[in-house]
Amino acid sequence: MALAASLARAETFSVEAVKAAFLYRFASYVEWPPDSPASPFVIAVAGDEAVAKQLEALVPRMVVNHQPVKLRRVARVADLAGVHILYVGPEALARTRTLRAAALERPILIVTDDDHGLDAGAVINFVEAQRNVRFEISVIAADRSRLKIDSALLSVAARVERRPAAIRSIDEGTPP
Amino acid sequence: MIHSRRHRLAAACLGCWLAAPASAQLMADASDPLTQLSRMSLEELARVEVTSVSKSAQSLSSAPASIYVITHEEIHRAGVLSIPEALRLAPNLQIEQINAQEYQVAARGFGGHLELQNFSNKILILIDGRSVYNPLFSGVAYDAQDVVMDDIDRIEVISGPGATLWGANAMNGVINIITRRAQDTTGGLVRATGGDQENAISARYGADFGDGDAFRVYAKAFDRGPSELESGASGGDRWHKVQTGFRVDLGAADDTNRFTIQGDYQDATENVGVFGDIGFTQHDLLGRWEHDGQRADTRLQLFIDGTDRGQPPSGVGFSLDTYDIDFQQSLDLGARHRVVWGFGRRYNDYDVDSTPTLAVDPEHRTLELTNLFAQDTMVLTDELKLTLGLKFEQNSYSGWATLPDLRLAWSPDDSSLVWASAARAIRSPTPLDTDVIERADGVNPFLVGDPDFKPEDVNAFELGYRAQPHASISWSLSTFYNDYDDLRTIEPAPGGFLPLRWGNLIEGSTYGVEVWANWQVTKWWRLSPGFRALHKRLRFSDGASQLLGVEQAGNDPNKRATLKSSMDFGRWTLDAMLRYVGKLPSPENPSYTELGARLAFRASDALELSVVGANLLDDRHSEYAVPTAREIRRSVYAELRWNF
Repeated sequence: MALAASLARAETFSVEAVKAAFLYRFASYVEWPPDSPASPFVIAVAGDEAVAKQLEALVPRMVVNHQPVKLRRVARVADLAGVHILYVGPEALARTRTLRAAALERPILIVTDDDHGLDAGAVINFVEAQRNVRFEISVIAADRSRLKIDSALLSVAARVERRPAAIRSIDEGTPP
Repeated sequence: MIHSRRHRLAAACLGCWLAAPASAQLMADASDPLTQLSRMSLEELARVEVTSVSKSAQSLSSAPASIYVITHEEIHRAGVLSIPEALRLAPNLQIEQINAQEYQVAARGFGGHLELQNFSNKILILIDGRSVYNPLFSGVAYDAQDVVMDDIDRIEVISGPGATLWGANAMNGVINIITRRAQDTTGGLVRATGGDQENAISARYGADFGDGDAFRVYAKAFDRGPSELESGASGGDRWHKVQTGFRVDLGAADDTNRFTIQGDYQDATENVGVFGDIGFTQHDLLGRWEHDGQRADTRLQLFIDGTDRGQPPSGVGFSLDTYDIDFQQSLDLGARHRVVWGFGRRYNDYDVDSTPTLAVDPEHRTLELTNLFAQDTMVLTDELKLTLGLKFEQNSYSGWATLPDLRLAWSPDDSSLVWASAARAIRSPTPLDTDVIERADGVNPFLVGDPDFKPEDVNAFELGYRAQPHASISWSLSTFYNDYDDLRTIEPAPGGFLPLRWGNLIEGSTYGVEVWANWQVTKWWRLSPGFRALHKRLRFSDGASQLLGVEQAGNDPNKRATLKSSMDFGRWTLDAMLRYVGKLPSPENPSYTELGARLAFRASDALELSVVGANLLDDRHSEYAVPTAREIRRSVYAELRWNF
C-alpha cells in the first residue's frame, strides 16, 4: 500500500513544480559576487504564473545561505532591485527584451525555458527531455554576470556551453 | 511576500480570497509534492518524471467561491469580437443575445424580463475596476462595453453573491474584466476582421519609456450587420462604433509605488428599423495608485465615466456621469489574520429626457453611494480558513444596508478544496423603480414608481468542491440555495387600480448546480465540459396583486451545457464550442444548440490567419422572445492578426 501510494504521488509532480524546485535548488550551487544584494534572497519570475504559484507555495519555508527566500513577480526593470535569480517563462521571452537587457548588467542568474534561451543571454535554460526536466548551462554567460557555478551543478546539466553562442552556431552551420 | 501581494491586490477582491491560502502554505504538510521535490538532490530532480500540463490549463484556484477564469488564450482562441460573446465561454453564466445590439447576461437566473421592464440587474460587471452597472435603469448596456479583446488578461466570472467586497447589485454574480498592464502589451498589433455579419479592425501600439514605465494606445471600429426577422427580412438593427483609448503604467524607481492612468472614448450609431438611427457616446478616465508597504498594501482609485444616449423608440434618452473614489488596504495582523478594509463613495449624476409616454421625476438628480467594509481571513488550522466580511452601504433611496459574508475553505491537500459560504446581498432601488411615470393612450398616468421601493434582497448559501485529481484533469462543482425577498412586482393603486405602481411582493428561493471540468486528453487536445442547472421556486407575498405571474422576475433557462474543444497541430489550431440552452418559460423561447468554431494558422511569430464561424448549426435562431428580439444569423468571418 505504501509503495502504491508513493508511486501515485510521484506521478503528480507537475512540470511547474519541478522547475520551481530546480530554481530554488540552483541557489545552493551558485556563488554571487560580494556586491550582490543582501538579504532576503529574491527569486523573480517573469511571465510564468504557474511556476510563480509553485514557488509562492515553496519559498516561505525555505532558506538560502541563512537568508529567507522571497518570490517576486516582475515585469519591469524597476522590479529587478535586489533580485538574485530571474526566471523568464517561455511565453515571456520575446516581450522581456528590456528586462533581460537590464538583468544582464547585474549579478543575476538568468534562467529561461526556450530553445533559444542561452542565445538570449541566459545562464541556465530548461530543456524538456523525454519525461524529465533537464537544463543546460552557459559558463560564458555566468562569467559575464560574475556568477560562479559549482561543478556539481555542471555535472548534472544536460549540456554545458563553454564558448559564446555565436561561435557555436557558426560551428554547427546554423545562423545565430 | 510583499511583492507577491501586489498581484492579489490588483485583482481587487478576488485577491482577498486568495490571500489566505498562500499564508497557509507556511504550515503546509512536509510530505506535499513541493516539499518532497525541494529536498531531492539535483540528480534526483533531473530524473523526476513529469506529467505535462498545458500552460493554459486552468490551475486550481483557491478562492472559496464559484469562480471561473476566462483566460487571455481562451478569448484569443475563441476568436470572439465582443465582451458578451467572450462571456459565453464561462460555464457559470447565462447569455442571451436579444438582437444585433443587445445582450442579457446573468448568473443563477434573473436574466430579466424585457417586456415587463425588468433587466438583468443582479450581476455586477467591472472593467479594470470601473463599475459599468447602470444605476439609472439597473442593468448593463453591453453595446457600450468594449476593449481591445487581445489586451484582456483575463475575465474573472464569479457566480454567487459578492456584495461584501463589490457592493450592492453583486447579488448573483460579479464579472471582472482585467486588461493587461501596458508593460505586457508593448509592440504593435493589428487585427482585421471581414465577414458576412461583421467587419472590424482594431490596432494597438505600446512601448516602454523611462525605467520600465510603459504606455499603449488603441483604436478600434466595427460595422455589425443586422439580425433577421422570422421572415428572413433584415432585423433593422445594423450598427457601428468607433472607440479609442490609452493606458499608462508607471512604476516608481523605489518599486513600491505604481500608478495607472487609463481612458476610453466611444461613439456608436445604432439603427432602429423605421425609427432611424440613434447614437450614444461614452468616455471614462481612471487613475489608480498602488503602494506596497512593509506591512500593508494600499490602493487608491478614482474614475469618472460619462454616457450620453439618444432616445430609443420605447425608452428615454439620458446622460449619466459617474464619479467614484475607492480606497482599499490589506494588511497582515500576526501570522493568522489577513485583513482587507476600505471605503468608497460614488456620485451618479443623471439627466433624463422624458417623453410623453415615459418620464422620470425629477429628471435631474445626483445619486450618492457610500460604503465601508472590512474582511478578515483567518487561518484556523493548516487546512482550514475562515473569511468574515461586512460591508455597510448607503444609497440615496433606501439608506444603509448591512451586507455580511462568511466563507469557509478546507483544503485537505494541495489538489482539492471544499468551501462553503453564507452571504446577504441586495439590488438597490433605481430611478426607474421610484421616480418613473408612464403614460399610455388615454390613461394618465398608467404606472408610477414607488418612492418607498425597497431593495431586492437575497440570503445566499453555497457549497462547493474543486479538485485536480490528476495533472491532466481539474474540475469544479458548486451548489447554491438562494432565498429572495422583496423582488419587484406590479401592484394596483391603493383603493383603486390605476395608476399601477411598483411593489416588492415576490419572494421565494432558487437552487441549482454549476459544474465544469478541464481535461487535457493528449498533449494536443483539451476538452472542457460545463453544465449549469437552475430551479426557481418563486411566489407572490401576502397582499400581492399577482399581476403578470412570477416570471416577471426573470425569464431564465433551467439548463445550459457547453463543451469546448481545443486542438493544436503545430502551426494550426482548431477550437470549437458547442452550447445547449434550455427553453425560456415565459415568454417561451425554444431550447437550442449552437456551435462556434475557429481554425487558425500561425504563418510566423508575427502573423496569424484564422477563419471563425459563429452559430453554425442553424441559418438563424432565437435566444429571447420579446418584440425587440430578433433572430440571430449564422455568421462566418476571416481574420488577420499581425504583431510587430
